[in-house]
Amino acid sequence: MKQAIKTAMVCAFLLLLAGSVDALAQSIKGKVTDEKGHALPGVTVYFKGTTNGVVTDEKGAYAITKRGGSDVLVFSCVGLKEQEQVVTNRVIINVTMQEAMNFLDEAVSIGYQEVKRKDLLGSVVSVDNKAITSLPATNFAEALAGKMAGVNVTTAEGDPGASVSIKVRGTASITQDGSPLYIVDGFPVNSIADLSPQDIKSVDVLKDAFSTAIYGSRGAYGVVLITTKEAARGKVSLSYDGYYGVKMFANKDAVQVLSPYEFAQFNYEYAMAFYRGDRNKAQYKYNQYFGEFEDMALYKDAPANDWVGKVFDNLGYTQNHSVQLSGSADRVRWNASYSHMEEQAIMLNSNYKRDNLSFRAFFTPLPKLSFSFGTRYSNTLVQGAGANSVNDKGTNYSNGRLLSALRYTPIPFRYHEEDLGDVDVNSYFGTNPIQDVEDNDNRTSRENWNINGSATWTIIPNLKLKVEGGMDANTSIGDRFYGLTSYYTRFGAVIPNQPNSIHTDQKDRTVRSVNTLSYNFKNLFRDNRHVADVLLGQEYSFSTGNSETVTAQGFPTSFTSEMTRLYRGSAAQITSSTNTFSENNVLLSFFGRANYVFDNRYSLSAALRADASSKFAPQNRWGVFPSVAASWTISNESFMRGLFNVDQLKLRYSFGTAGNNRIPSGNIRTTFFSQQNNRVYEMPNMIIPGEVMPNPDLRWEITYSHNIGLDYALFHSRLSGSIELYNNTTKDLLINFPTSGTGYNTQYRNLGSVRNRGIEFSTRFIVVEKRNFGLNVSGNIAFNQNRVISLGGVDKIETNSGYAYGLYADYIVTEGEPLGMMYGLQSDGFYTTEGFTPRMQGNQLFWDPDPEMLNPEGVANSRWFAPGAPRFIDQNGDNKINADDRVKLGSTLPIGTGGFSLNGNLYGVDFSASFNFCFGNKIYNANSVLLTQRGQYEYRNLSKDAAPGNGHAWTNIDWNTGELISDPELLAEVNKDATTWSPYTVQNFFSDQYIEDGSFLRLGSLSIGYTLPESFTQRFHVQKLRIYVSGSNLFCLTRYSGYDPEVNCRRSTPLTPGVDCSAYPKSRSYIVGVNITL
Amino acid sequence: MKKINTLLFIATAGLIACQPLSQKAQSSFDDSSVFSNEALTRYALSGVYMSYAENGYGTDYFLLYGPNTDVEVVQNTTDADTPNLCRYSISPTVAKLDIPSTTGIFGGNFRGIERANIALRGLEQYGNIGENKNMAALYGEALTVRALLYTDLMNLYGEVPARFEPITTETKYLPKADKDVLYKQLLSDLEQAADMMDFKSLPRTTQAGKACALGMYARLAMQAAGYSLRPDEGKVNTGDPGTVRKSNDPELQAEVLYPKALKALQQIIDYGGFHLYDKFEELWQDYCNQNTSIGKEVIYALPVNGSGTHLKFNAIPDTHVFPAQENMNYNGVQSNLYFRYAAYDQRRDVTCYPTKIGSNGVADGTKINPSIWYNGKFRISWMKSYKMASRDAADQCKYIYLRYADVLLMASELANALPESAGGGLQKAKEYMRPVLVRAFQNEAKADAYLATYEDTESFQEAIMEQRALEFAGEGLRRTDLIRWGILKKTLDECAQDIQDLRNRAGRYSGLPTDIYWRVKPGSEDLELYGTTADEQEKKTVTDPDGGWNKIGNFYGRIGSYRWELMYKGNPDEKTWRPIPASIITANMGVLVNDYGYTL
Repeated sequence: MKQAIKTAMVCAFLLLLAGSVDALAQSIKGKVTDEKGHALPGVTVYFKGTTNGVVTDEKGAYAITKRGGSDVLVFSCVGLKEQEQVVTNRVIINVTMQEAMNFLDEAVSIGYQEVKRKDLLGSVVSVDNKAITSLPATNFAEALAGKMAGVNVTTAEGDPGASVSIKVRGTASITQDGSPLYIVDGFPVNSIADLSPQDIKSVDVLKDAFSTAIYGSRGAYGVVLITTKEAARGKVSLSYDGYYGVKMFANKDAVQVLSPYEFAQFNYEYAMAFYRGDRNKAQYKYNQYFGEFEDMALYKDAPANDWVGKVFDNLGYTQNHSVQLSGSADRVRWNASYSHMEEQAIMLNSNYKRDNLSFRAFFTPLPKLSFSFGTRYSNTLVQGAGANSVNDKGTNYSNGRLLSALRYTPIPFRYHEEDLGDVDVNSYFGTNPIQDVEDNDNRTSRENWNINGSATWTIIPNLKLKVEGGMDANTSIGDRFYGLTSYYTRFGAVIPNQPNSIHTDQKDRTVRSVNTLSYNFKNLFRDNRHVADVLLGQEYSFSTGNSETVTAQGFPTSFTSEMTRLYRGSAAQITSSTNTFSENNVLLSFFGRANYVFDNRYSLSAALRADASSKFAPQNRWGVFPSVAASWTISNESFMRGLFNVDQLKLRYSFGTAGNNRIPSGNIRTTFFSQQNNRVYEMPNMIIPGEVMPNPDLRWEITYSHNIGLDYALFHSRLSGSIELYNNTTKDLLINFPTSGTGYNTQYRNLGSVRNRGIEFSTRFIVVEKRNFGLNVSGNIAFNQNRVISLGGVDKIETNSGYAYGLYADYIVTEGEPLGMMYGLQSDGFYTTEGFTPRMQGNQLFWDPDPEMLNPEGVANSRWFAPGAPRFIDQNGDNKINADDRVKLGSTLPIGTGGFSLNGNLYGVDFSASFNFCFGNKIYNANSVLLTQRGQYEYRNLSKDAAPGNGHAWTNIDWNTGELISDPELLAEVNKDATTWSPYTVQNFFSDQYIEDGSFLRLGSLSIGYTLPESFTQRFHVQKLRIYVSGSNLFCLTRYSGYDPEVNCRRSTPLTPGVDCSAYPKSRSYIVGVNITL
Repeated sequence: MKKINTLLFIATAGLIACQPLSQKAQSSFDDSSVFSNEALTRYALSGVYMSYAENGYGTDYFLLYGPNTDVEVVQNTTDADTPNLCRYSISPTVAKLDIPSTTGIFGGNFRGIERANIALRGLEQYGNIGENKNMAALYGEALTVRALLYTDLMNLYGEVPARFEPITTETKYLPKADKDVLYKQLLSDLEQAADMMDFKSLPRTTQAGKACALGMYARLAMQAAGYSLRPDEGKVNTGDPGTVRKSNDPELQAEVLYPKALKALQQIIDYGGFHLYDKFEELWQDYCNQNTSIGKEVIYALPVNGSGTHLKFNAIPDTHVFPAQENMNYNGVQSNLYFRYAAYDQRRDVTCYPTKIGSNGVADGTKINPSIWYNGKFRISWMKSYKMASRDAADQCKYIYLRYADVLLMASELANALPESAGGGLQKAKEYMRPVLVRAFQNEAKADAYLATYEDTESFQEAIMEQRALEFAGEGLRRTDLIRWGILKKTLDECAQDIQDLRNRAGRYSGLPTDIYWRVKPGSEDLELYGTTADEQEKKTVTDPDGGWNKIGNFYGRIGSYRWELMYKGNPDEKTWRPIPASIITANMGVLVNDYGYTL
């Protein structure tokens, strides 16, 4: 009543006002209801293009006065479809509003069927195009980071072709790639890296085994469904999206190296320690490159060469142009698009180019018959060999362009000018970082073709037959160049000291056919509360491939990377050539699913899929994967009606099994491949079996998954979200198990079990949704606990990442522990003068340790065991520090991951910010291992932490005289502020101080856009014109001391995750873009 | 009805698309296609030889197999893992050797063995070896290479698993087999292999041909019938500490094997296709120039390109070629070896090199150290056709595995042990040895005089043992010899004492002058030493009429005590064999167990 009076007063006031201002004022009133006739309060009613508006009251009533201008009344409310009514001379306008067709209402093809997202019984998370295009990344998957609960997206490095890993609900696979199955428009593909983000309409990730079970095999690690844009109904429309931006080194100051003076100091200390204070001998190591000790102070003024800056801190650019054309005629809808993406990355010689073409068409010649056809083509060129050595052939673990830049001398050495004869300067001093980039080059060019078509025939009402067929063909050509200074040329090549190239040509092709028959029982039930449908299908897929690798050596020394690619045929020698035909990979499947819903309240669904894979022997070939799911939509119960502002409350449970056969083909029996290997004298041609032992007993790996979910939507769906609990147990894991000593390196086996369980929350809150002002926040967080339940009788699986000499293995998989568990020594600071007695022998200084002192045999520096040496805890008390003293140092798997985003609009301005985070994971900082220990290399730079004296590292030198300090008291006094050991070590050790917390919060992208008023743009026949600016990776809050906490460099095996060694630094980018729709 | 027909049609079409789950690749090579074709079988055998090209040989066998014996020694004097390996003290977890992959020698040789097994099975099934002589020869070659790979494994590890069939699920893990089992198999394989090949079927020494099979038969027969550290009967793979003993197997006794072995060697000699180089030096000059071609002395050399690092790490350090790389030498010869040769023995100055090569390309006398003698058989300065461009480059020299001198000395030893009725006897034994001595002394009279001093079989056996030391020093044969004679520790102890005697100029070295003199031999880049025998007591000076002598005072007294103290660290008779690497023990799920008191 009060409201009515208020309204009346307002009306009266407005009338008065109108009367005084505009004689044409016209009063309009009415009622707004929903489809069921319920009153809708809170609906904004306003005249289009004006500020004249009101809000409906509790009874859904409104009254408004027209004061000239617009004749169109707009009704708008969150969650409902906006409506416009032309006023003309009407006085009463009653409106029935419909629920907005939002994202959840869209039909997507999940599990061979078109379903609405909101009707799903399993666990599915989705994002739309807007979220994908918000980040100017070469691989759109990067933009998914933090957007979907339980889907952990990490980018291993910062290079333009970086590998993006998507893990759905933790990781189950121990030795195999645990990435999900990617399906683009129904077609399983190997990689999604080359898709154009502008072409993607939505991404749906199926997380539980019920949802994935219909995909049978391959669905065990989740399914990522990508739906590309299809033609909208309507006239021909042309749109253009484009942006241009710059890229720069994101966190350059994170790692600091020694200044020229500190570098000289360290080398002096090293030379003196090496010769135990014998200055005559120390001169051999120090003076010939650095000059006299007395002149060291001159280095204080010496400018340092910033190698990291020269190689990595270049201003890059990125640009993207995308044109979309779509239209529809009577019975045809079609769209076509072309995109061009180009990036010049921050590192020298590193760039990326991609062109995408796609075309889709739907044709409905008869009401009962429809056809669809789609084709996609992409052509990608990635230039540059990256910053680390993971893809370098025959390499040393510590090579890598970033490390090379960090460790190269900051001052020119004498040898730069002088001829040192045959000194192998690369081994001795390292390689000039710029030369290193030039001598390690790579060019990868990929071409993907995907063609598929389908026909749908409604045979009798509600019975549909769909016949699909398609082909996916990929070619990848790699040209890796190894110049004169590269490790491979110097150590691995048959013809030394001449450039080499390795050319790979990989061709893969998959042909697939699917037939499905679906029937909807809607005409069979008299009571229309019963809804049921059934689906039957059959699928056949056939993949084959061939790879050819040619190693060409002995190019003239003047040859560059490009020349070796062009003139490979004229190489002095093709030293190795391998041709491998992969065994055909055939999959035959039958599947079915039945859904039943009663009164929109109770749903029950069951699916079954049977797969036969040629990867297994006939007796193990078939895998049968059943699954069931049920849901109760509580909000549709009568007792819930009108309660608590609850719009939706749905409880779901599902149980399912999913299989996995993701191992290479051809592992059940011995097959040969042909190779040419010039290392075998005069018998280079060979036909050999592989390094993997065949196993005829291989069978399916199976994941058993339970999922409980609760979906809610409250307050007119202003607050919505879901909570999910899951428990996934993967059994009979397909493990590439080491079989050392048998003549084969590994064998695929079904072994052990891994469990992932966790809880996921995701929520979306619409703070404000007004006509010209909207703000919403959404966020998600997922906790996952990973455990190795069993290793099938095997004690442990050990792997050495390569940075821990003498420690045998630093990654160990054992029962009861999570994967990614690292083991190493526990640091105990460093030795002081305590327990050491100085002794002069001739002009050499020895520090005799007390007999009871720990023997650092095999790990620390045994040549110069003196005060300042690193100290470790002797866990087993045997007075030795060795592999037996390893302790658990933590896992690289995070406890939780997630993200949140803010979206808003104010008049024509829109903005969005998206954050992602990760916590509880540990990082193996191998850069730091190599930058705080001299290890086996001389004359390489170290990090600031290793600066001798000055409150950093322990020093044994009296910097006034240049002599080793032999007086224990004086030495202790000089080092009273020392924070770390003396970096003179003979080999690298790995201890807990190289394990760092990798938690971070990153502002992934922030963008602000402005859409020009339609009234203005239409003058130029432009429907929509939006300009925007956007920044990505604007900040990353973390305690990690390296460049970026999101890192994974030792990717050759999944057993050594989270190693940061010479990773390509991440960039920060700023772009300006425009969206135009004609 | 029409609709149903159409439906049936589509369903059928769908099923027709489902061809059988064919597993073959487009041009899959399977056993039947590979081993019915001579060229493809040859390619498959190349894959067996590939073991030699792996790091297991390049950085392990070539460097660490051999020392320490009474002739060879590891130069590194530290108490570190790698040199300790040569001192019979090694842990299964030593990182350098604990290589789980097929690039290590254990995994790598078993890979070669598996490839040989696959080839043998394939040839038996598809090779028509009964009628096709070429395929039969390939079969023989596969048997021989398999035996060679096994020999190296047994020389390193003692016992290893017996894998003479391709691996199946049942044989994935196998315990170590008794040496008797292994030797009997290998000997019968080599016998069969020799029968299947003919001398002229192979054009290269880098392939295992008939002569190699015959020579290896004799070498293995002598090892099988000789002493070695082995677990008690039936105790292999139980962690048994083992004892040094001979086999109890009646088939593996000397009286059974020696006559057959001598016949095998006699076949090589009768064939006549191999002969000794006229001069000892020429053999090694050819070796350093990668010339080990057929028809000369070399019978079998390892076919390694690229990762062959035998020469460079065993060679004389050469600052002329590699200025920054003084310390690349791993192994040298014992300090007293030089003094075991007669002064006129040509082998002395070839084998024992007293110093490094200076930056001017000439032996640098100022660097003479009586503790460190280099192996002069391997000289970078001799390389002519191929220059190693850096110390990291491969030397590409083919490791000589079996040469004709060995055939003669083995025949001599066998003949000496056999009665005349079996083709043996002292006289026969001397005849076999004579060409080796004639070449060494470059003087028939001296050779005959040497032989004449031995009047009985026992003393001549001593002569054979000594001649094998002098002939093969630095070639990695000595350890195997000492083991089969059952005198490994005894010889090392004697050698340690002998070096002490040399240092003190006591015992047989009494009367040596205190100082020695050196000069660059006129017209040569090598050194000449004076004062190395009791006769050479003269004092020389730089201004001597015969010119340019430099004195090294108290030469012998400067031999480091480590030369006898570090002769061995573990008892050589108890730790003769290496432990199987830890990671391989782990990966074999408890089926494979180290014996000889090695933990893990």
